[in-house]
Amino acid sequence: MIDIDPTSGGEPPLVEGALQRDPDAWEAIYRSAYPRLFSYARSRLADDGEAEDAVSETMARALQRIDAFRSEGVAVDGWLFGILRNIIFETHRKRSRPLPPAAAFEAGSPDLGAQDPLARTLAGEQAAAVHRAFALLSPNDREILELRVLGGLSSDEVAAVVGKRPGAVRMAQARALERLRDALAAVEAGDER
Amino acid sequence: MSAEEDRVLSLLAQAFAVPDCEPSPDRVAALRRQVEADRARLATAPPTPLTPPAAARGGRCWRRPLAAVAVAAALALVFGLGWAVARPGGAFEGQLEFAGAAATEGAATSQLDIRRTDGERVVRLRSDDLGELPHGQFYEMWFVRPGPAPGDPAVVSAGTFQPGASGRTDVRFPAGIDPADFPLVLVTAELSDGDPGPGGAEVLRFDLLDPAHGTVGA
Repeated sequence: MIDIDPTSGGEPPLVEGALQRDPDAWEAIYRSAYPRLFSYARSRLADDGEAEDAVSETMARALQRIDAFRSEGVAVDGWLFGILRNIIFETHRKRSRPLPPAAAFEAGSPDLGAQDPLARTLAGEQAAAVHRAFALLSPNDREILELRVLGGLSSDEVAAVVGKRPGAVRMAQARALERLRDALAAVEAGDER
Repeated sequence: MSAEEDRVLSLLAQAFAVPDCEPSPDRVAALRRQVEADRARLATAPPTPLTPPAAARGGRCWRRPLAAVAVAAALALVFGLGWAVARPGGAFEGQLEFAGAAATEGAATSQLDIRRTDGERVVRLRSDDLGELPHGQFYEMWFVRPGPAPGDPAVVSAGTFQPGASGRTDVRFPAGIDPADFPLVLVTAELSDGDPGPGGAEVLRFDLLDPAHGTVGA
């Protein structure tokens, strides 16, 4: 995660560069946030193309509104995710189609590179089980966990993105994790419903 | 967070690793061009959105104009025209196309008009009644086209602003829409929450009137 939180004292160089319309600063923000923005968009949109378009639109709108960001008091990452989330909603609204079931995280895959074949197999099986369990969660549960895991956002940042109080988000996250744990146990016991 | 929550979160993170990817070169180049264009625009104009979002917003409950201030609306039109005439040396010259008639009490002491100057349509808002906002908030002006349903208007942002240091607001934005299609102008107090649509409290509302032909739109 890029460390350009304007609340952490002083005007961080990238934010200052962004305010000055420095293309290098904007490119750095884009490249740094892209994997997490793309993963989140990909988990909620139909295909890679739509996800790429949504992230591009996010950056375009961020450019339009960067002057308002100056006094915002939130981290750039959370701000970008808030914009992206609205774009995704708009995309679904235009299509009059609900969010896809958690085909979520298709863009992501377990990091197995450094493991031996057996460990890789076990990790792969566990990942598949987690995927199946995740798909059993409600859309609200999935969104909070997606923002936490894919977005790499803190509970406070998730709260800012979804427009809830941090305490409510922490409680919702705890419940979502509890339900995921139960769902995972059901999947591993072959008792999926 | 409990150890069990940590464990489940960790499993999730392992299963759903964020891919190591980057934007395509053409998309990076496109963003850089947008930034360059915005910088060039800023060099010649006050800060305004590069291209106002034209997102149709559904589900919002826009308050209808208050019948009780209809008289104030008419007075504001006259007052607004008078203001423009009374400042012949002002920098905001050009053909008056539309005047904003106050549709809320707060707007009655503010002036909004749209002029065409050098081929460009510009909207200007003047007010002494817009107070300083709390940290993290800003004012935003919107052109509104009433939608097929009361809660489903189309909304285009004109731009964002803060009152001047003296407490006086005098802002101008390019009006990249046809006011005949967008007969309402709103000013809202927005939170910097990333929501590109109007989500904040409405503080001013104007009906756009064509001085030559009367009210436009609904």
